[in-house]
Amino acid sequence: MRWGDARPTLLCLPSPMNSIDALYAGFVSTLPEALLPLARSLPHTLGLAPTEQATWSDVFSHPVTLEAPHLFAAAFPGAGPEQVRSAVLAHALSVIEAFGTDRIADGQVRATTELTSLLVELRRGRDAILEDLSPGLGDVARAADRETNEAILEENALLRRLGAATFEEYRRISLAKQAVGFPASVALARSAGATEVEQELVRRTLAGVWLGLQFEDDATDWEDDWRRGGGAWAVSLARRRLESVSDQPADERPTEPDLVRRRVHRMRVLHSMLRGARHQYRTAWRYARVLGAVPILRWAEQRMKHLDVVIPLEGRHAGYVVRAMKLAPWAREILT
Amino acid sequence: MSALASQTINDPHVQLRRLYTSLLEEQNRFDEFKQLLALYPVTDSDEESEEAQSIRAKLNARINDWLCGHFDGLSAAQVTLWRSIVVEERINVALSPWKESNVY
Repeated sequence: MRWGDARPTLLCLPSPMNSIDALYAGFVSTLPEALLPLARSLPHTLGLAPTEQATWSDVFSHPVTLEAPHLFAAAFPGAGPEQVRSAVLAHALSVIEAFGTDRIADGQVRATTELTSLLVELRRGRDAILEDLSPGLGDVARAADRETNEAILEENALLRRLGAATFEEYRRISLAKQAVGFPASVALARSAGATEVEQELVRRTLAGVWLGLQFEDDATDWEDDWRRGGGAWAVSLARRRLESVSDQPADERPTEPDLVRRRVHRMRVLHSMLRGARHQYRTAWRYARVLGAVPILRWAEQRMKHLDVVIPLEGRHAGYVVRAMKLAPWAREILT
Repeated sequence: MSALASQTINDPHVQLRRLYTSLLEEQNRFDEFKQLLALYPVTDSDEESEEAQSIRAKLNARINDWLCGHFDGLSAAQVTLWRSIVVEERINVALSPWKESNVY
């Protein structure tokens, strides 16, 4: 799972709440003694940070990734600060747990007894908060866990066998993978007295946010995903597109990196993925506007503005978005 | 060429930006750039070896081709910096590479 993450440079969110790190630290303090060291260094253990001291706010620079409910709070004046804090913590625990499960599923992290116990605690903590916030939402979260896990398995199986995939399949599996990203924001809306229609607007807004981030991230990082050996969406999408233009199965299994890259570039899938991301951000923007969730609306505007620059460049120079990512540290050092 | 245009072309910052743009726009250049950087030997010594000088000269010649001239050439320190970013992927590690979808 990739709760994709690019620091918005112009967006400044009001932050009347505790930081996500403080909320997480509060949760950690409730854990059994034996799990404390692992819980504190979890970003590092999951391979998301280079040092054990790194915090969650160091890892995810998009406020929406770990604090989605906070961004909806403006739309629900009935939600008090304590409810917002609870929802943010529940959401963060969901996302962190999903990251852990995903890293274990794709073999990047070993499922030690300690880590497995910690993931159980994350789920337990989340469910308790959600139940308290809005009775019944704990069940919803557990169902979301199952949906996410099944989608992760389906994705891994498809990508590992280099299966050809349509964009519709890509969208379906990606959305199912994000299932855990919905319950906490819905719980906040419900606890604040939101109508069914408003709750549905929250879901649709979030679907746009999560899919946009996922598509953008999968386009940018596809070479790294491929190098790790688990396949990549860009490769599977390119394969499907190649079959449709050549009218025969592209059943060879290219392993030579340049050949794979040439195919991905020739089929222009990165361009399509970025356009898909832009479309999703636009969807999020539209529903956020109806809801009056201004922080999400502004955030989606920033993402669209960014993609409006990148998409034409990717269209003219296939692979631009990947090379830009690789050169980003240099550009930041030298050109800014 | 006007004095202003000439001044702009000779500006090292402008030259680096042109190189950056050129690498972004063409995969083959990016690959060749990376391959030449990978060949550049890294040592603890302050003195650049003959082998390193020769690779740097080749790299600068290729960049000059890509940019159609008007490139003063990368220094040994600049090549080392590029190498650490493009080949070793380790510069600024505390800030960026492990983040997802960094700003680009």
